[in-house]
Amino acid sequence: MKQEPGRSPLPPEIEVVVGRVLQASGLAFVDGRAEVEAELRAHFEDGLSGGASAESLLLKFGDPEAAGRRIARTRPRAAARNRGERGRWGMPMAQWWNEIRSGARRLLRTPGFSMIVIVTLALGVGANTAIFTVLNAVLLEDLPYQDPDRLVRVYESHVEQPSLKMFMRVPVFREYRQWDDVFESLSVIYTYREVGADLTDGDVPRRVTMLRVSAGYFETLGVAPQRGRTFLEEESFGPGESLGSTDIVAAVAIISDRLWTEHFGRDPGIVGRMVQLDGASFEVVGVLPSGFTNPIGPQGDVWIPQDTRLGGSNNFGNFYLSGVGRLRDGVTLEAARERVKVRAAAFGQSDAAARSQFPHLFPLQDDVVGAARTRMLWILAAAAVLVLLTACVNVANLLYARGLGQDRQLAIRSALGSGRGRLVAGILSEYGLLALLGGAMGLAVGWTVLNGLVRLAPDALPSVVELEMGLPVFAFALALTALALLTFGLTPALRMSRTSPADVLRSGDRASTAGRFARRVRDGLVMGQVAAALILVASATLLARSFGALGDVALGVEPEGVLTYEVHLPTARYPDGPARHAFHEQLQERVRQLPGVEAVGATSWLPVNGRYHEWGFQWDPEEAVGSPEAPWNPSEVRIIAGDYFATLGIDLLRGRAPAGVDFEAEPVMWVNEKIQEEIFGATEAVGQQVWMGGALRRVVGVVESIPYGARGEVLSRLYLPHAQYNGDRNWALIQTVRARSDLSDLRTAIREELSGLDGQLIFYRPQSFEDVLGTIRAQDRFATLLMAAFAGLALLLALLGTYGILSGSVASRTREIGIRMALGADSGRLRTMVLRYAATITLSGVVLGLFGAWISGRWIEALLFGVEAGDPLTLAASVTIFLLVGVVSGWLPAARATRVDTMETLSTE
Amino acid sequence: MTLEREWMRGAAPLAVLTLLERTEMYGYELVEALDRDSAGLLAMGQSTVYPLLYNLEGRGQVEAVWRDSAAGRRRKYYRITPKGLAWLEGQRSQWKTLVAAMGHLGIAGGGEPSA
Repeated sequence: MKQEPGRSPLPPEIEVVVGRVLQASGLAFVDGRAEVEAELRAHFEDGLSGGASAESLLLKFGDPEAAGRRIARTRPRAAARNRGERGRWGMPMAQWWNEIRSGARRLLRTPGFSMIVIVTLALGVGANTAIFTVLNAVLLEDLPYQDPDRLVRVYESHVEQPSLKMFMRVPVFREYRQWDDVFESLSVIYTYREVGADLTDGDVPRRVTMLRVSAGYFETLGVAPQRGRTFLEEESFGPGESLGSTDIVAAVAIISDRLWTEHFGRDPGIVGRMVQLDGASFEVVGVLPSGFTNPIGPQGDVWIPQDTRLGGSNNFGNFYLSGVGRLRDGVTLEAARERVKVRAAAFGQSDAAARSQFPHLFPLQDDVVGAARTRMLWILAAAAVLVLLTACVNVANLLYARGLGQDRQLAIRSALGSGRGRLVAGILSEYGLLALLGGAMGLAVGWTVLNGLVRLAPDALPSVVELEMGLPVFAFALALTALALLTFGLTPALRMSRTSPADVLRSGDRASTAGRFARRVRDGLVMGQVAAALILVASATLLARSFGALGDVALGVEPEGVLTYEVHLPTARYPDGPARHAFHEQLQERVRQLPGVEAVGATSWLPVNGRYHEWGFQWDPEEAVGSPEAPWNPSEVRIIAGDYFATLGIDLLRGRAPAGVDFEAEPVMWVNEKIQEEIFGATEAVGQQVWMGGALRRVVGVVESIPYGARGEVLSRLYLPHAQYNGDRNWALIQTVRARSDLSDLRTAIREELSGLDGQLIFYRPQSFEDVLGTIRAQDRFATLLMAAFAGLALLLALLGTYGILSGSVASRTREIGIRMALGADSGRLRTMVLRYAATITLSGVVLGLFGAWISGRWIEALLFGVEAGDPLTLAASVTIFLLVGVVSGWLPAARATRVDTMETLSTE
Repeated sequence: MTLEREWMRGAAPLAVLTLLERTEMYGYELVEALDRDSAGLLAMGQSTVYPLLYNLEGRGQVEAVWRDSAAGRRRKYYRITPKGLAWLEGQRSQWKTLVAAMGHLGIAGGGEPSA
């Protein structure tokens, strides 16, 4: 049918007639003009070959112009059916296209209106696109590993306290990994402390993140190296015995694609190359694929085998490894949890040190994302949806108001013979364009918002997550706009198309065809909008107050004017404790001499930075001196050097300061107030001797308790001097400097001092302590900022919405008001009438919103700190805001109502 | 005799579909058949058959296909669709009722209602 018949010549008088028919038909190419021509020619050819004369054929054919006009009416529809293109209401594509073009022209005729609708939609869609991108990436998208639903995080736990999530011990890990009815593979990664190393290979030394993993770690995740191999069984499990926790079984390393690119220039001979890490030689055996991310812990540059041999500190007393397992194919999480309990019970029977312990399994994804973060994201998503709803209500109202104005125009078109389908098509194409433009702009807004958020709060999201606005997000944005189109486009379109033209034309400029029902629907929409905005404002206020309360938490430190940085000493060149201690003493002495410096110290872990190094000591109130038999008191341990307490402003309550402690002198320690209160009680801690780490130590001071987290939580904590506690481990000390001078100048000066002392060392991660504290509130800040932005947006939209509907209402009642005034109503009463209308709508919305806020409060409670979900002050403030919104949005229309010109209004009749 | 326009508007599609019900036909063939069998139905000109066919095609009551004839000429053949058949059935019984009623009134011959 697509083929066209050949053109054979016809008598000239017939050619003329065919031409006239086509000319009169005005058919376009898409309507099958060529086919009609071919059919007409075939008609005459058949007639001629049948023996008829050209003259008689033309006579019988009839009037060519009339034929052309009839063909123009009938042919396009047949052509459309043949193309299989048929809009609803039986309209061919060409007509739709016409409607779309005229819709665009109508929108361009009112650019202000169009822009407002597009921008409103874009804000709503943008907020949703941004938050659902995050939600999709963090919660819905699988982790980037093979069969990610089989991956589990493994903690050690206690049967009587199953909520405990402890790190794993090497002997326990070695047992668990043999349970092949549960695990296809089980591996560990050392995340207890971020480990780094100085890569002194090439011209510039580089500090790299170095992670220790057991053999089988990459296999568990299902990741294969792009070059070389992963670790061999014996490179982590031995033979032989472990000596210390940082023992190296085999000097082999796997590097990231990034390091290979940035540091080694993608050297094709990288596998087999020897590199220097902290002064020791390692052979590179593999390169990981680009895009590999570490699920737990930091993103690594270098991986080396974790020593998982028994012996040394790899005993039952040392909990320090993070387990990652892959469940055997076909074993569900529930089945695995049951099986490990049975096996753990048997294991506990055979080994007393493992009694009552069992491996607690959690989906890796849940572990990576975290419950608090999950909740936060769902709350923000709900907030974004509320924003979109308020935006849609505004758009619906705008279109509705415009629709009233258009009734007359539509009525005229209808009276001139446009079918209902055609009218609806016109309206829909106009709104469809608005929705599409709003959606496209919303996508751009969302992308911008997203980038801003990530820059603003980089630590609020897990590092394994990569945010990208891929197909699902695009589909989501499209679905949102389509939904918006349906809700605000179709209803008014159908209503208009049902409008009787005669009614509208008869009503003249009173044009309003809005019945009481329609007005109620609009009032209801605005009430809902006020309610949604109130929920958002109340939630944002709660989060903001919570964030404020976090800022008010007494952290016990004075972060202003404190610079922190790290220097890591390679064991190869600083082989023992005294050598490392001597270096720190020298460096600190040099820094102390710098202008403006007030105090210099160091610690193994900064305060308010999470829990770390949980250990303990033994002391018996009945005995003067601690012993290995005395009761165990768990406490966190910090190794400190120099005048650490003074640098951070931690108050020394009693006893001596830590500066100048001698390696030779009696072993000493400091305890915090919590230990004094809870363990020593009425006994003065200073002067007591406790048993700790296999030796007696005397308490020489009590300091104030410093929280470990942003919410002010305090644990028992003791401090050991680096001078006396540096033997078995190369402590990665974080240096702390308090100064009156500018910190960036200080940074430069210290860098110079350091390179003067040892040019190969790296001045690592210098940052102000204020910045360090800032990152710990990142997630709270993220939630608060986003919620505040959503609430602000919703508030603005609600204000516009109520104003819009009130002024619209006044405008449509201008005539009624004019008559009332002519009949002597005073302006005060009219103003009251309008304000009462405003109050009714706002108050109903507020009541609805209060109820919603009460419900959402339960949900948001878990995110709050220092403020109750039902906080009366917050609710009262939110209500006040919305009453103001009501007054403000009612006042202008009310004022306008009283200025209605009676004569003018009535003379338009 | 020629039929008035309104009459033709109702009768023509019925006539065309009735012819197509028997066999598929191309345009000129159909025109000839109508001229032969329907006493002046196309008095307004043979050209009217084409808009009529397009209309039926647009309504899905006929479908068309280009094919070579035995003589080697390409022609557009029309045939009735199931939708067209259904419509034709409905129309036919209405016409019969009408003709019967007219017969009783002595306007048309053959007065027995048969459907």
